[in-house]
Amino acid sequence: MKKTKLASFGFCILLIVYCVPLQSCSKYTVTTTQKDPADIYYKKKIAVSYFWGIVNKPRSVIDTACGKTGLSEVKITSNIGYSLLHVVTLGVVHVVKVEWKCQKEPPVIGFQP
Amino acid sequence: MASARIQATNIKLLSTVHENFKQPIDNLFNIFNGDNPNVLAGYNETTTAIQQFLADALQKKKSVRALGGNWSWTKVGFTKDWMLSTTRLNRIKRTLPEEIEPSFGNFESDKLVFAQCGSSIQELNTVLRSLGRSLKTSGASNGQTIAGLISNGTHGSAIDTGSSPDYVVGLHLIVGPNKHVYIERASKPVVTNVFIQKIGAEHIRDDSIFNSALVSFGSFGFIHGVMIETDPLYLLNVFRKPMSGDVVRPLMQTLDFTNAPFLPRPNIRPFHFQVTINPYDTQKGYYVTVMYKEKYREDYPRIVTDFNKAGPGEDAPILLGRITDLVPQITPLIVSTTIKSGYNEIDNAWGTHGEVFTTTMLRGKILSTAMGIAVENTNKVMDIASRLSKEHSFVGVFSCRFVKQTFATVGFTKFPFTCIAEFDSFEAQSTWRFFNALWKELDDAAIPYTFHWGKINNLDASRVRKMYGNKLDEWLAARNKLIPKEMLPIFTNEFMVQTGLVNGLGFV
Repeated sequence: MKKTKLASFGFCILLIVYCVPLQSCSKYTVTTTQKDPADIYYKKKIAVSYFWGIVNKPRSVIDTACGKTGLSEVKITSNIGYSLLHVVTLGVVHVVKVEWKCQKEPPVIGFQP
Repeated sequence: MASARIQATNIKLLSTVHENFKQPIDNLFNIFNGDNPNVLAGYNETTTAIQQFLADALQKKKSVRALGGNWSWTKVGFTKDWMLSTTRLNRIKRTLPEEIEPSFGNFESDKLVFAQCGSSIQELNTVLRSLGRSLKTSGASNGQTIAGLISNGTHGSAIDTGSSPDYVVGLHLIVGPNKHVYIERASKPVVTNVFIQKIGAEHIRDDSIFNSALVSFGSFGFIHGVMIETDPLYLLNVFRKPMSGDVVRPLMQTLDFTNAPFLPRPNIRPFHFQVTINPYDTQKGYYVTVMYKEKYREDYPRIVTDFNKAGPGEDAPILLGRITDLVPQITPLIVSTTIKSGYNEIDNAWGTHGEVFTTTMLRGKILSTAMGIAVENTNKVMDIASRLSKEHSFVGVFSCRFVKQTFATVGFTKFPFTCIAEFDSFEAQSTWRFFNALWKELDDAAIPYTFHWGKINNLDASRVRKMYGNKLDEWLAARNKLIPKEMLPIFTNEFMVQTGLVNGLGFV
């Protein structure tokens, strides 16, 4: 019985070791039904929040290139390293990766000239 | 007033939407239209900017490849030198009666639309709907650009409509710093000199060059504009339900619907016919999607999507791939669960083309291979695949879509009716084992097939020759005839050299 339990435990550990380290812990995307990105690559920024949100670095993630068409999608990613850091520092340091793409400008349509 | 411009991003490593490889490149450039409100005047400014870009590439001996939605799984649309992102080039010119040849038929407003290369399928769906028109067909999603869509021969499953290149009737190609051409078929001329003068291009009417350029993955020059033929806005009446293989398989083999009383509209040939197969469920594992084309009306029930439903996360594919590599015994469970959540039954839904083939939210490391096979070989191939999936614990589903033969010279839907046999899965060792075994068995069984250019394949020069025979010579001759000799290396990439799609080497 003990041996079976030990084997199951070992298998679970093996599974976690095999699957988890290379993966993100979570990845979530915010987008719209009209998503039509102008960019073919994500722009990235690591955002860190210190002292339970008292200080953010950067204060806000600002894109200066998207212009009036705004964002097409935003992706927030955390991973096991970020999570460990969060736990070990008792929440003092909280890191996420933010990625985004700009939305295309609407097309110019017409008959001219 | 801002002019058209091209900006270097200094991105040196590029991946696809599906993240299945990373390609080192010299640079990625973004190209922007200027803000000239006149559709074609602005378009022509961009033509000049692209010509200047090609002059720079020629001087610096850099190969160039235009990039659309970056949707493909293969390096067919990549080069190690200069990549040019075209997504912002989305002007759409409506045609006037004096621009269209009378021989094309009675002028119909917006039957012909001239779209700049980066216009996405989503944009075209939206714009055309506002004009009371629709694309004839597209892929299952809408993230591709029009030039990218046709360049790989993207297909849907509109049986008697064909693939996306088949509704293209003209191409504006920039083939060098001093040469840009508008090509169309001599056997079906479409535009008059009035239109040609407006874009300032050389006019070429040649069936062989045109049909060759349709599916050419960016190797026939920079596709700047595409003249497409549209349909009046229509509705699709959509049904999907799981069925037994016993009733579905005869249809997959013949596309003869005259004896199909079990379909929602008994014995009627549908506009769209698709079968998705769960290889681990031989009872009711055939998910049949049929769509019937109807005249547009305003009072149809709209499709409502539940965005709050739980679904797979972005890392699900790679994680499930690893888990099933480790514990292959759970593969049938994973596949059955995935197919049940992703292929829900649809009963009598209605939507326009753009509403039915809408934005996909699927992400992550998905792998897909697709082969064109003659429709009469469909079940033979599916049986081989079914056996191999069990042998290799393939964590995926099979899909069969059907289209009539394409006009494109090296279009992969080359059979009178082609079944596009598609095998989608996660990034996993089992997936690669299955793909390799399947390709080998098809070779051993001497079943003729082609590969979707934009999906995972094992193409090399001898395979391409075997698949396209004399058509390949016609394609090569057309390319050499169209493109100035000094520009051939500019439009040649590593994939083309590897697969024998060049007569001589480029800069690679």
